[in-house]
Amino acid sequence: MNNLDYKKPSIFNFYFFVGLSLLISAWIEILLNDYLLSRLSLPLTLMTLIYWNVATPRNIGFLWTMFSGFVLDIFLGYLLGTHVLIFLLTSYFSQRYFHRFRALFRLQQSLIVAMIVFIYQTIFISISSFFSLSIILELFVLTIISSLFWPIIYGILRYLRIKLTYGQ
Amino acid sequence: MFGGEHKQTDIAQSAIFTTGSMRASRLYPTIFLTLLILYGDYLFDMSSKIRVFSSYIFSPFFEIEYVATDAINSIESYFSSQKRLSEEIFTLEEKIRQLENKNLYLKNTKNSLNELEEIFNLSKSFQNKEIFLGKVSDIKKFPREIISVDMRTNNISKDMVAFNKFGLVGTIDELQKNLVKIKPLHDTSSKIPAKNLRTLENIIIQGSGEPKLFYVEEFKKNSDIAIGDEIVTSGLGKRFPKDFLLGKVIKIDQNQGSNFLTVMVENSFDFSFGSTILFTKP
Repeated sequence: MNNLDYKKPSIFNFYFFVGLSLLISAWIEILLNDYLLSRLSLPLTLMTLIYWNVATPRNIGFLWTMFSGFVLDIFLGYLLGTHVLIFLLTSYFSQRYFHRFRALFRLQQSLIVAMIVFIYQTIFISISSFFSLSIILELFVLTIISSLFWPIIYGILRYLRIKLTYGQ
Repeated sequence: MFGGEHKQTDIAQSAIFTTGSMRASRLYPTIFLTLLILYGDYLFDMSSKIRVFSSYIFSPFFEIEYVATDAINSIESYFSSQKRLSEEIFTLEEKIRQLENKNLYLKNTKNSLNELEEIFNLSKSFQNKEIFLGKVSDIKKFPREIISVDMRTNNISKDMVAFNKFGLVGTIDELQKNLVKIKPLHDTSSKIPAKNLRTLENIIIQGSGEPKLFYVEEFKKNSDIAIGDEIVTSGLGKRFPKDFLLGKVIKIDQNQGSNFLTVMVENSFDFSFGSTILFTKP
């Protein structure tokens, strides 16, 4: 049954909600970074960003991408702009190829996300010039964990997006 | 049963050649702006100031566990008879903390004085030369190792070398007003005339790019060298002063198909140690 009272949320609300979800994921990522005792972090913000770029590519600009990148740079101790550059490139490619990404099965999507996370973490290992067996192990473990997290993040954000867009 | 999968495959087949309307030209301004900020941060270290500022503002968000525990404890203790006792304990703990800080401060002062004393001992070997002392203001590890040293004089010249309390640590990379930037001896661009203290053979050692490690350049297989040999500066070329210890030979590799050995030299002291740097001409 169609709901005749259905009201589409304004783009401003939606934009604000996307920013809020990115900031919350950045916050959780920073907290986890302290608790995981790992030199690398679980890239929740990156995965959230990929979701929004694939789900609603027309509504996502680069402002929140940059802002969440700067937040991570400040609190994880990198040069300002390091995360931002990676996030911008990820946003670009996600928005460019979102048709193909959406058409994939969830398992295939997880594999693609794992590849992106692998490249992302490798960049940070290269920046720190710290190569050791333990960090390679961390890299693989976090990549696998991230790929397992993707369906969860996808599910939560999809549920919230549908709630926000169509209400009850 | 497989209807959903067929539909999914159909969608995938039609989507495989489709690209979004996103154009790279929309990305360029943001990339340019980000690179500008990255370079600005590298030059002026803006992020550390922002970090300090934001750590004050956002500390409740990132220390939420402690904030919650503190809040619960304060509510509990307010309504209990232990409040006065806990306040007294808190006051005593505060006093202990102040004393610990004072102790730390005194220890730091003692360390600084020891460091200065050792640097003055070192300076005795430069009797007829001008020496200048500077305070380390910043140590950068990325993208390459550089120590910034605050100076009150502008008499520093680029041919001077830098010492910390352990010995020779680097050369001058850049001179600015009241600021000197030093690159480490172990930088890959460093080539130091040296000699083996046991055989007195002249060699050239090169920085490996890794802290405390050097390589000996083109060391012939029939030459005399052994693990544990001490390598000191030879003073040849007058770029570095004579007879300063650079390190000990820790590894000798026989390269198959080459006439040269790969010799690795390691020193025991850290380039970025201490807070005072001494400059002098070789």
